[in-house]
Amino acid sequence: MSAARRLARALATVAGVLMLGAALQELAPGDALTDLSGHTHLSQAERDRLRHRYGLDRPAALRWGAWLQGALRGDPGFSIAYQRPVGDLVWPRWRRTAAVGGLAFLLAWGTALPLAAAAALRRGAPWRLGLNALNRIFLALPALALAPLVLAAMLVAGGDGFGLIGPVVVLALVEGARALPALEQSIQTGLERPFVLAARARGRGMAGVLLGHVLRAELPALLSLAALAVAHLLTGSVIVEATFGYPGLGSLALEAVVARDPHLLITTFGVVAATVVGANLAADSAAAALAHAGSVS
Amino acid sequence: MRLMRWPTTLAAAATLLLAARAAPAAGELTVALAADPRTFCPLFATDQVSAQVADLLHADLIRIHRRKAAPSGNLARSWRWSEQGRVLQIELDPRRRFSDGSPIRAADAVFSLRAAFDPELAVAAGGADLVGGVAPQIRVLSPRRLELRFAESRPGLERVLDSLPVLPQARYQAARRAGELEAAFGPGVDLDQLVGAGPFVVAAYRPGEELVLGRNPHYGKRDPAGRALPYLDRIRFVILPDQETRLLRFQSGALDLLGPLAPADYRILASAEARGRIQRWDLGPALGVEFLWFNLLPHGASASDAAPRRSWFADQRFRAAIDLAIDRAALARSVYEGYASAAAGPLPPDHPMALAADAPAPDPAAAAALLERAGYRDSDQDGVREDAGGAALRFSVITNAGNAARESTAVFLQADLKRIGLALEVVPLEGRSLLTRVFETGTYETALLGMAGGDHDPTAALAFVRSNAADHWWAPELERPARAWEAELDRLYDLQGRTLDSSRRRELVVQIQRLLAAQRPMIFLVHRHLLMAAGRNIGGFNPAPLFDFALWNADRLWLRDRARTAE
Repeated sequence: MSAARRLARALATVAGVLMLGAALQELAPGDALTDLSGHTHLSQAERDRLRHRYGLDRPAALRWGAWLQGALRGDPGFSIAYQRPVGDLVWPRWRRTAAVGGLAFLLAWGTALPLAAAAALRRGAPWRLGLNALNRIFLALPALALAPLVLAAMLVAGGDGFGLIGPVVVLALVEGARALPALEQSIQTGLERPFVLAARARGRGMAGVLLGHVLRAELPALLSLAALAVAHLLTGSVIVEATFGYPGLGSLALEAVVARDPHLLITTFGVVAATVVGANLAADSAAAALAHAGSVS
Repeated sequence: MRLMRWPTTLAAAATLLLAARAAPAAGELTVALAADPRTFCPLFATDQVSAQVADLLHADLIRIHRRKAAPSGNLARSWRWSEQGRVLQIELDPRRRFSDGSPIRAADAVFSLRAAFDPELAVAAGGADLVGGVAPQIRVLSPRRLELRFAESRPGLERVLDSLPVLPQARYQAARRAGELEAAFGPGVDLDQLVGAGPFVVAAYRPGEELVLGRNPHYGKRDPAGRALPYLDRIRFVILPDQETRLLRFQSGALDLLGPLAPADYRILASAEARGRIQRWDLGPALGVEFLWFNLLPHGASASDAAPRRSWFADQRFRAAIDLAIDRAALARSVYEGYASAAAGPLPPDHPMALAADAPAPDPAAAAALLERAGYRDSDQDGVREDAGGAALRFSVITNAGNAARESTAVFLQADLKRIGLALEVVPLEGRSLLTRVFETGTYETALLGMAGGDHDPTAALAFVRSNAADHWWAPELERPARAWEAELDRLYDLQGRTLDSSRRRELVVQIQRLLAAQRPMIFLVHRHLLMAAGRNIGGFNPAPLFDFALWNADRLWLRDRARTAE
């Protein structure tokens, strides 16, 4: 697939997510001001006036069209819940989530890769049973269950649970458990490739074989796995950030849903979709470039 | 003579020494907020988080004391009523200043009150009922004196000034003229531009993370020993939407106080209290009430009319039978773990104008007999009664999904009603869906919610009985009363709001409650207890039954020991 087609497909995916997000908001009952209903001092007329102020009484097509126009110019609208421009909220939160996700990824893959390599090389080793059991435990524990456990453990240990550590540890455990079998499979496949077997037969050291041949050969598959990890880390961040009270994009998305904040919600949808699609696009492009380089050389 | 002075001098020295030893330590209090504030001005606060924060940044003229429930001076050094209680003259406290150091003048108060009573500003701090719907005429008498002239004398008129902030005219006049006063207090404004007369100022704000309030150096209030208030250097509000996380953080010592608490959380904290790190408070029945109500919207007022159910709900005997079937004491014991009191009416039992009666005792036999007499019989012996047309008495109750106490209450009601042959289906709904059904489409049958009380005064506490009220639960914002008893409720409510004689007023308020108890458009269930917890290191902590319960005296809070011990 050409780079242009990949880009077009990515843009179409983001556009589809935005349309779905807008449609869901229109179908759901109530709006950002519904929680003012029944307020003793706010009559229906006053609530209607507030709705008019925020443009919530305009037809859906006009509202979303205006938002899209603004977003394309770099102004993704105004948050009713936070009373400030959406852009001021989303980008700092995105950076925080990217920091947590990036560290969690490094920790997860930095641990899982050597373990996967060792497991692929020592398939019959008894310690693998323990590793598999441990992996199954963390695979069975979703972030929803793991986050409160880690938070409680940190608080018992005397920490206050604030900051990056808790979210990073939870996301890394979940991602590490998910990635380990796939990485092991990938490395195993690499080890069985004829040129790898040949290199080993020539007496090349295992570290050199792994780094110089196996990982290089499996790089496209590993890039795809890494792109998938971006999606998993982003979805996991919603629960993890909410549990730890960490102010990232995940907790912002949750708050936007609770507040039914239209511009904030659609923008977080769009940013999450763009991040995932962007990671996939980057992985696909890199894999294509590697394949091209391989065919040229 | 000289000898006579010695004891006095020694006593003074001892007092000073004791005062110095007991001098409250400055420090930082850490408190959780469930959400970000939407405004920094009480005039525009429609949610409790905003109201809590904004109240710390601003000062009103006269304030309802949160413990005594009586008016007390804030920016007003004194006030005087004249012309049979129609005219209020207020003298400002000369020591008080705005946070930018500028003096507080009568012109500032007049400017602020005119904004507060402006119907064009959709202000939340209303008080329209208290003033009979007519804004007072307000004028400056002298640089430190102002006058409010009300259309008529009404009880508790000072209460309308509670939480109405005095703003610096020079700073906010342009925004007011441009119709941008609300925007001038939005959470996105430049913090240096925010000026108020409250004990604290906004020092830092990171949305979704934390809001730090610093001491207002120009606050001007002093304690009896002459020390400047507030004692605290800072209040750090950490934004934590998740209730479990707030509890865990409080247990770890990362938060200094927590509340109002759910009964289960209050119970969990018992062990921490036993270990001596925290203290818990059970302040008894709060001003609010949990209740079930019937959809009594007039025909055609809702998007869909379920005809047979409408006729049941309109039948007073049907409503009375449900009221008789509910075991409120058991509900308080089981769902609220004993931290609730059975409700006889909308006002809690210790309210001076509450019905002098116990909550109705459950009598399923009488309830069943009442249904029999009304023609609701179980003809096909399937355990569910039918009406005269043969329709089974099955109906639904909607309530907040995720609110464990309400969901459990609904299931509890289901069991009680089953005993008298009524089939209740529990439908938990997400908050906005629920409010849309109740206030916009009217597409529900019965609903279960709670009211949080804001003021002891019956004009505020019973505002929901007015047929045109936004929170007239069983039929919101009616143009005119749909039934004779609703018209009578309107009449009694208006009359009590104009009756100055307190015993006569009490009679009228009791009549309102009796009429509600007789007609039962709402079934009052329990008054939840107000439960709080705080670290023992907080000095001056004195939780109150009125909002905001914990920080109402924030200017007098202090820290005994800044080191916290983790659980």
